Amino acid sequence: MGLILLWGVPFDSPMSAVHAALMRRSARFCFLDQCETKDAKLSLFVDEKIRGFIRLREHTWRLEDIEAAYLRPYDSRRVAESCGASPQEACQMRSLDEGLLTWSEVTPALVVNRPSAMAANGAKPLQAAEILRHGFLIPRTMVTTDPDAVVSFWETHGAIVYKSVSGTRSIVRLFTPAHRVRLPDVVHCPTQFQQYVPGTDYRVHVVGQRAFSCAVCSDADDYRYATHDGLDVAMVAASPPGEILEACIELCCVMGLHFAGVDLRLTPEGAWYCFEVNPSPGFTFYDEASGGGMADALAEMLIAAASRSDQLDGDTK
Amino acid sequence: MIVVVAGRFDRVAADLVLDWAAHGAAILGPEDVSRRGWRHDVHTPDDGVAVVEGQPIAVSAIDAVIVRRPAIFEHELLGIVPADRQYVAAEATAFLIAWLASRKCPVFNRATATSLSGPNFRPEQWVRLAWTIGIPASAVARHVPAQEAVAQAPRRVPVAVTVVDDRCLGEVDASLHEAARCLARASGMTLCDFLFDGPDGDAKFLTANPWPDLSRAEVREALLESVDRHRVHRKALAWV
Repeated sequence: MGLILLWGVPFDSPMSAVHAALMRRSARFCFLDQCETKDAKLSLFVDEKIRGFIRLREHTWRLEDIEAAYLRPYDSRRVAESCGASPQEACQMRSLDEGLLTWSEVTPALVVNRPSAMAANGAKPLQAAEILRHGFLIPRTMVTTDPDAVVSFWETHGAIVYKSVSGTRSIVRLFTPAHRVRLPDVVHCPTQFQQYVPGTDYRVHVVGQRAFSCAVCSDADDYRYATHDGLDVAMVAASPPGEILEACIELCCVMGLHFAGVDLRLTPEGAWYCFEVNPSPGFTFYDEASGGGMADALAEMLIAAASRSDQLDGDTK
Repeated sequence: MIVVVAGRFDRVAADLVLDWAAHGAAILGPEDVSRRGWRHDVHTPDDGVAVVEGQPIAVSAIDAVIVRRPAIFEHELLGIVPADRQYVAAEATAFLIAWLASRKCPVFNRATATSLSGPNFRPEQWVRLAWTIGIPASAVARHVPAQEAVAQAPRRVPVAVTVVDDRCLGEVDASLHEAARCLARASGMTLCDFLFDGPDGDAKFLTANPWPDLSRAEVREALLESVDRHRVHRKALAWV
């Protein structure tokens, strides 16, 4: 059986959950803890084949043995700071991360998820256009540096929200009359505005060909920050219709994502809008309400990929 | 109008725009993204407004875009307060990626999620792509920590084949032109140097350079020819 690579930090809840799921299944895996990589070594050779190794203290793992990987690396600069690395060690940690990211783009192994497949989430209007192309409804979306355009958009749609364009985590906020005084600032930075779509939030996590879903109940503009605003948030078991789940699975497949969190909203009129596809979801937040089992599903997908090499070997005998 | 996405210190871009003044060329610089006037609607990307050389222009007036950079960098945003430059650079880059990717006119090279221009491949990704489509390529090695280079027998002098849309430039064996075309198609690049370890048919692919020298007359000529061809095609479609 091939090797499964977990790459990230142990205190990350999703990583910890998948780690535990693999342990329960006695899977063959290795955990590359970013906090421990100050003196790790990597060699990567790319020609007709991909090969090399990672060495961490007494452990050496051959890259060609890795058949599946779950990646949740943190920013190596922050990791280096948090573990007290010297400037030289921090540089080495960054180089190692870059080497692993490179490997993840060229390896034939199942990678959850390749950085290039995840990148569209870092340019929201780009991802929104792709979601639209695949048949989902999306809110009317405008990016502008023109205050007059914002006013016109607001007058057209009645209620609008604003949010960041890049992957920099921003809080979705309703645009109110009090914000008008700040409109001139829009000139200096392209800002994204969207038609406000009322309704109930749903999160669908796609794991391969499986979907796990729940509804999110909150009065916050952005439920992720509800407690920050002194508001409640609750996840309840609920699922969109089968055709919506199928569409989510297909969307993630087309985007090259083996695992993702799809943000949907159901309007009072019964229309389903898609806001975003999160390529590295913090799924533990939603797991219980979604019926549990996401970590297990991920583990099973990784194990299945790692077992395929055995099947191929068997076929050639 | 031909828009060249470039920085203020890009002398080649400045010279190109001067050379193409009669073709309506202009530079879209980092400072333009922080100017009043941009409007981009995800549902109707062809109806928007861009800001080029400080002036708002309808995107429908743009015949082609040549992109000379992978991103907007914070150190260029002198008009933004220092504390906000990192954020504005990230936002501007993300926005331009979406804007460039939605253009229907020719874009050299079309933005991807990872770069304003092309897929932003590492050397390993180029080699992997080459082998995947059946083009022999020289091996690439990466070591952490970095190792001292081992003295090797002198290699052949690398030779570049420049792809500009469907044209290949370079005095090499015809098979290398075909290899370059295949690599361009597979990577989505329309303006790129593909380097081989010699001019003959047995040469191996080395790597690609997504920033070919635009001061070369033959590259400019090929670019302009491509833009004109698309302009004519667009006008013909307008009549249908």
